[in-house]
Amino acid sequence: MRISYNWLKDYIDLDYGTEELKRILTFSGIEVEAVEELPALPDSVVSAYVVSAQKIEGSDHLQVCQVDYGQGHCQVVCGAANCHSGMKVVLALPGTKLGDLTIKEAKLRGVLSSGMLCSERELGISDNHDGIIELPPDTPVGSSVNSLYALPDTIFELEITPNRSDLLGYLGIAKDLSASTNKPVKIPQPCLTEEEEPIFRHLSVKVTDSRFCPRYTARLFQDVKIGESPLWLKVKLLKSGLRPINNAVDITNFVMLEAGHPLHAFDYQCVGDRQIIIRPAASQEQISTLDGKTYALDERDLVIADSKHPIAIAGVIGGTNSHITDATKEIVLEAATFNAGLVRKTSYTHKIQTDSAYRFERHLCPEAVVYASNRAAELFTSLCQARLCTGVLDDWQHPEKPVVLGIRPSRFTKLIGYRLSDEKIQQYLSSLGLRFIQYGTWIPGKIENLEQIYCYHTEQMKQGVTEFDEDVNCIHSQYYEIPPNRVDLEREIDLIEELARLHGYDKVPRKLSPQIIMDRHAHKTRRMLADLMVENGFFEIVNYSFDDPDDAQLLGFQNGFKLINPQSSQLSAMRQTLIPQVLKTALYNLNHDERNIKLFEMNKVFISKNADSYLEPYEFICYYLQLR
Amino acid sequence: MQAKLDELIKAARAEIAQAHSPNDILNLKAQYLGKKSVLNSLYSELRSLNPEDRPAFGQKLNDARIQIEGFLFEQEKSLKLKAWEQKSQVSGIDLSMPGIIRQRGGLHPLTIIQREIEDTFMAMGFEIAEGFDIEDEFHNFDALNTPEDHPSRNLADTFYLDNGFLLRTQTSTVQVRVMESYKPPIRIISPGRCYRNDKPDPSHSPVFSQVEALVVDEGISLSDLVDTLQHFASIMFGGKVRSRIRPHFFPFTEPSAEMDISCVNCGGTGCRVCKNSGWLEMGGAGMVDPNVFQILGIDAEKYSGFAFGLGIERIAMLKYHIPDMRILFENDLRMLRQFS
Ligand SMILES: [Zn+2]
Repeated sequence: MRISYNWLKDYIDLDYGTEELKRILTFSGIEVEAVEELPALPDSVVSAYVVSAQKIEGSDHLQVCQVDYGQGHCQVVCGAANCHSGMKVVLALPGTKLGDLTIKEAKLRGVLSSGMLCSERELGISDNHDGIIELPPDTPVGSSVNSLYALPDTIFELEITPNRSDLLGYLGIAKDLSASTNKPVKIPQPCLTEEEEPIFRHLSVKVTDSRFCPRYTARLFQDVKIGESPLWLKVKLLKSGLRPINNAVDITNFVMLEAGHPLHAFDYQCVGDRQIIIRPAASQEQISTLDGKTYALDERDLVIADSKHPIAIAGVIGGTNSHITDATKEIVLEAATFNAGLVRKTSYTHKIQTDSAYRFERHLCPEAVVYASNRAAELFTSLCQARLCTGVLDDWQHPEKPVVLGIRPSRFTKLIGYRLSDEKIQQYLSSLGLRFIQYGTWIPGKIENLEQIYCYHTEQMKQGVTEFDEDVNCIHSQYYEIPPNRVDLEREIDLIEELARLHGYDKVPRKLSPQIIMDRHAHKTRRMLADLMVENGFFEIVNYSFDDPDDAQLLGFQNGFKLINPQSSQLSAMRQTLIPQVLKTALYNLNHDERNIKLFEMNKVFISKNADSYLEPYEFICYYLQLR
Repeated sequence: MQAKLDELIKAARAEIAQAHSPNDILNLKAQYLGKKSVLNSLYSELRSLNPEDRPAFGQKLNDARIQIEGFLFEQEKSLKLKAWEQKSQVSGIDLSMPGIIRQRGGLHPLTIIQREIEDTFMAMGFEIAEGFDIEDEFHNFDALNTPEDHPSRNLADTFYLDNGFLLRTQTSTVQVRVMESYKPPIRIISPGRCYRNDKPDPSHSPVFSQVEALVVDEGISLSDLVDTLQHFASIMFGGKVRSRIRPHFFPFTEPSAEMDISCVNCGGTGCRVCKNSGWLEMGGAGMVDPNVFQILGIDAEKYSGFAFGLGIERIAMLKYHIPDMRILFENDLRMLRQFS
């Protein structure tokens, strides 16, 4: 999902640099796959007015344009088909650098060209290179276009994990960032003006099986003026990777990107018998869709139909028989939820991938349709000068009760490894839209009936009678109502995960300290050395750590440690070398008729440095005696 | 033409015999047999001969090529041989001597057991810490909460050195040294030699080895000790072995315990090895006494820990059915060979 930083700032005040925001997103569990910087355009790129455009003799597409850019005039040769006199354009003056391209004065067909009229691709805001940009007629000439295109900007390519359907729009991302950064989120509150004409006189909606379509709502707009969207809207779509089409379609796309809930607009005149029926497709039922293809459906596909024909594949793509055209005067706006598995199957079977299917596949909640529908309605009335009929047709057969879950702070501590105060837990969960209900004794699972929760006396809570029965009888459990769009929060552990995520995985204490006590190198070396000797036929022997001081003296060792209470004089000094004992062992075995004696000992010896310091190095002695 | 060819072969033989290195051989090969060689140019002269003479001369050319190739091969072989001989002279080893089947030696059974114990604990996340055999009274007794008048401090129990030091009586000294230098969490074993003034007999030795385990962290309980002991016993003696602890006294642990495992000989029904009790003593254990923490400056309210010690000789004797501890220090090759 492409997220424009500037657009995101409409909903939450963020002043982080790109890297910092990337870090924040990453640590709140939203992976940033790529970051694309859209740099500010140089001052030499300005809005301009095409005074005249004339074909160049001998060229089939080049035109010579006289361009007024406020500070002066210039002559530009342009090859774009949509270039015409009287249009407002984006002019790059000679010397401008756009990416790898440097604009120079040049002669084309012998005609001097001092500048370039730019396409969207040349400005870096989209891949569109079909023609040059036509700015709105009221754009002042000679001004920077940075503000028109909200540049500079940064585009974050986000990977949303499949469980987080609440993050499929700008508002969702903003809410989550608000929870992790503690900055307030600004949610546009749609303001609707409904006309007197009631919708039910003009349209009916029927869902044949609520398992496939839990909720379907429709609004009706009259006197719709289809045209181009305002530039700000087009820019937002472009930066998010969508092509502007017309104001009505653009509004549905805009709301999908903003609120994360896909909408669909039908041409009311194309809805046969003024009925909308949501039903499984008939076998081999055909529909031509907006991607220019025709699909043969079957009973496993869900369609939106009028009295006779399907007019859309539910949640996936609209049909060409009902789409918005320049001639459209009345619009039916669909805001609905469809069974996620069904949408996934249809999308997979027919290989249709759309932004809509992408979202419906991830379990959208029925409660969310109201906001999306209202937001779009507000924009239809303002941007298409539409008149909104009174009322909403709403087929919602089985509204679900909100989920209530408990969480034990002690359980959090046990699983995550640090404590969060009750207040902190409430703060974090509330920032995610969870509504705190009350404290109570612990009840596992979803709470069906709020009266189940036994409320411990608040005064006793305050007196800190909290720790004694930590897990099972936690009187301290906090109960929350889960917002309907967080379909992923079903168990206590899900709440614990949210808390750990928001507080930051980087705050998790490292239990095993980084201290390293063991000398791995010495350990490994001693083992290797012993193994090497064994491979070569030697047997390891072990002897007491003390021996006869006279032996050491024979070998020239002085001043060893003497035992003051030895068991015998032969065992009265700490050994300073292993040699005497290795030799004695060899002798012992020789006396037992061994003729091929291969021995080694690796053990500590004890060297005194002075009166109160000593060394205990390992000594390694091997001995090989072969008699014939 | 024939003369030219003879001349060529003669020159080639002489020059190839002078070659000193594999590189020389390569160069000569190019010179006499390569594309720009005289021999190759003679092939092109074939065309100027009468058709009836061509086969005979062609044959001669081929013979010459084979001959030169032979010189090169021979010289290359003799160079390799020379290099081989030189190598054996330098290293002093006769590389041409036939190999012999080498008889393996063996580790001492105490080392085998110690390694097994080390590996078992390392797999449980323990580190190995080493200390000194020669210790002072502080680390061997005072820091371990041993009263001044405790009998273990006697000359009859502990070896003392003429410089005022002593030989450690347990590897618990390493615990002390580790806790002095490192902060919890601590998770170590310390294998090593200990010394007690016992006369050698079937079950005693003045020199013996212990492995001491120490875990210090928040929330460590006696239950962790029981777990670790059972885990260790299962790995060392097999999954069927049971373990237990029973009350005992040690100065440096509170509560203290003696660890037993079910008899590995009879499986717990009672036999000579377990003196008909069905249980075998493994060593002492317990929760580190808060006093020990206090002496070492560790917050005894925040941290707790357990420690236990195992006798390596005893485990070796059990596993290998060695009836007398003294056998382990005899180093008799007839015994040692059984562990090869
Ligand atoms: Zn037994």
